[in-house]
Amino acid sequence: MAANLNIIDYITISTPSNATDFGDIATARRLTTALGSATRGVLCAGYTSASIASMEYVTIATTGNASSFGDVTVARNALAATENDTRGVIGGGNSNSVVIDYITIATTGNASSFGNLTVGRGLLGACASTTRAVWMCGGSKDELDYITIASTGNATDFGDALGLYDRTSACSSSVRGLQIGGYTGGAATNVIQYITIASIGNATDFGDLTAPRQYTSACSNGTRGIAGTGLSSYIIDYVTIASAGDAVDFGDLSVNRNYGTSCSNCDGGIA
Amino acid sequence: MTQYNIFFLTPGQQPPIGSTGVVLANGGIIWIGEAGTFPTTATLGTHLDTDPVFNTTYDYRLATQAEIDEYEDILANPGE
Repeated sequence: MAANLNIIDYITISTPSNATDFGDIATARRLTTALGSATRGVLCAGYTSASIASMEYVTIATTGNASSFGDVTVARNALAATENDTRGVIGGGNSNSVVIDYITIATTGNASSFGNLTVGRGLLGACASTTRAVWMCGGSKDELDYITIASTGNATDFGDALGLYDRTSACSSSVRGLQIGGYTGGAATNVIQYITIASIGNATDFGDLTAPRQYTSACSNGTRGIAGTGLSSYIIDYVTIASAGDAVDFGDLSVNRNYGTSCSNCDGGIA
Repeated sequence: MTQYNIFFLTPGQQPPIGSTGVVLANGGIIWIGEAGTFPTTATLGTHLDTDPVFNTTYDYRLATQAEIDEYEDILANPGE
């Protein structure tokens, strides 16, 4: 069984290099998710010896330890979060959860109900523009669905991915959303696929990771997409979101880890 | 007397004090507390002008024995 880690690393997205220690989270966990505003990174729920609901936050510019934020509405793991800098949205989870929660990133407190995904699933990816959030695959499904972040309600079908994917992640620019690797057809995959967030439609092939990876995590600075962690992995890759192509090695995490997550403040990333 | 209720959140609502945070397959969340103390007024999160009007009351009822059994089973078998 994988250990629960409390480690946070950080990178400067514009400069390929190895990751540096950031601080620690209070409750070591795995199968968690994170979202980031220009100021804060928020870690949401996950798994210890059971699903947990607690959220913690860091001030990204300080490289210090995490502090308590509040709880999501229901305890769950294998969920996916994204944001529009003001509102964070947290969807899906284990046991085919349909739950979508939201938080106001700048103010600590418990999450509120946002609505439901079109199809319940865990181990999915999430990305967003300033207007729209999209959840990608998960649960060995090809569903892509979206919400308008500023208006609570249920998700709507967006289109389909290139296949049935699980154990994946996503990141985005203001225009494109990328789904990063995952697990499909009984094996880890190196496939990166993309959508145009403002245009409802199916995903298109973008390129490949440097190696097949599942349980990926991803973040971006709006220009460069970062794919880190995985299954017992220290690899960090990057892509230029605006130009389809294969990923390039960025550097290494401080330690191997499983089921990690990542977020960014658009200037730097933490994993 | 301890009571098991099940409640269903609508957009904008936060769980009431006493929520177990455990959601069942039907989307309901188990609440445990003294009989008659389930709050009638919902705790609401931040509201934006672009949000719809939030419901100010919870949709809730007593949990059935089958729902209590499902809740106990989730506690006994936490899944990743």
